[in-house]
Amino acid sequence: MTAFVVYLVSGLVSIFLQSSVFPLFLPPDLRPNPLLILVVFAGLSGSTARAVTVGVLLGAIQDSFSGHSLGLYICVFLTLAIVARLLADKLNVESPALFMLLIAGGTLLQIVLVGILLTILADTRTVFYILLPSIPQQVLANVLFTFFLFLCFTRLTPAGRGRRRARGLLRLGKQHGA
Amino acid sequence: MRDLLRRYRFFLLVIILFLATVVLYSYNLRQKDTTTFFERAVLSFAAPFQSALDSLVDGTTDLWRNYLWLVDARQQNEELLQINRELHAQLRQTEEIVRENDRLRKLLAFVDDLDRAALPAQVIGEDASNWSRTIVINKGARAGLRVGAPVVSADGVVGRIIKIAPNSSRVLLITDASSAVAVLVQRTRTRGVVRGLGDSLTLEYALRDGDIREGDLLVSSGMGGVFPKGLPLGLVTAVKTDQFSLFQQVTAQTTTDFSHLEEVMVIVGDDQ
Repeated sequence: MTAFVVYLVSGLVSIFLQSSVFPLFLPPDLRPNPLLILVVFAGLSGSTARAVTVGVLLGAIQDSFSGHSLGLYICVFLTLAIVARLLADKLNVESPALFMLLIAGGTLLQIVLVGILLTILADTRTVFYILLPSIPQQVLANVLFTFFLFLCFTRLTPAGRGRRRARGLLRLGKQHGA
Repeated sequence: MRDLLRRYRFFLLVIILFLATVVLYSYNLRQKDTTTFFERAVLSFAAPFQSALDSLVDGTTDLWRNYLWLVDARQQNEELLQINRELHAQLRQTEEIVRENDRLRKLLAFVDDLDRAALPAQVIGEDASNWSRTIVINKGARAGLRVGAPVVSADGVVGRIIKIAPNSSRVLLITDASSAVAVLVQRTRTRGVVRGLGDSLTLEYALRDGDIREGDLLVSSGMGGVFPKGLPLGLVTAVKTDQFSLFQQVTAQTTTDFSHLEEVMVIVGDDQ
């Protein structure tokens, strides 16, 4: 329950950053997506039930603040959380570099899913004209933001238990390695 | 007599000298514009000394005031800096108000031309994703807004309301990929549908024999019932005609600068 509340609060802070703070300083393509980072993190670090719940919850929050139909990001983030959960048992999730690589992969997967769903279901053909040129900037923005978060976490957390945990950024779930 | 003179010699001399000075003064009163030889000599002699003395006094005073006696200079400096900061802040605020006033005047003038009731609103947020183009405004259902209401700026069409809450609304911009607005080329009345490309627009279904040129203004056609007829949307930037295509490929730049959008007008009334 505590973890759920932490994800909820983090999600609300993230959406506030995305909708009201980043637009003041960054063009659309260069705005990072902290919610996506949270979803991937939840997929890698928690149980499957938590990953699914967090994916749906954060997807609903993102849907409320973007586009015009509830459900698009619920679907996308749920897929991302499940994919991350499946990969967590097969990869060395302790590695920060790998985490950033997964964020890059997650960003690509998100763009592809959004593009396909909008084109097929919403008849929004021109969305690919917006999405495709933005891929490099989006990947770069998300990876850099993850790196920035990682730096902040390791600098602010005192050496010891928290910092050792931060090396991998992840706390392993009970199912890890099962 | 001699004894008397000798006895009062001093007083007599004083009286004589007094009378002499009175006579001298009386004489000089009539010669105001002339400088006597004596005066010239004294002044000439004294001038260098006066000048040197004056410089010395000035230098000493400056030294004292500017370098030695600085007891309250720091405090005064702090106070002046504070006043300076406050005045700068007031100036910036005033400049901001003047600019806002200009923008609102333009907006009001634009809406006056429409002859329809409109409600001003401020942009308070943007879309949380990078592909969708929506904004959030600070007026909602409580202000009488409804889903589908057209939103305009002083430069043209902004979009239409797609979500509504009591005190805020989400506006779908014309640059969003899912936005489609029926338009006319103002010069030739060629019809088409404008769709969003993120930062620009594309004109679809413009027949290949339609006369469209770079720089043509696209205005709303009024079809569809959302936007009033004649509102500017964009300026044509490129026109391509494919050999085998039925339609021309036309791209346009929006007349509204969406990156600097702060105030908008929501059209709430019907045609008057």
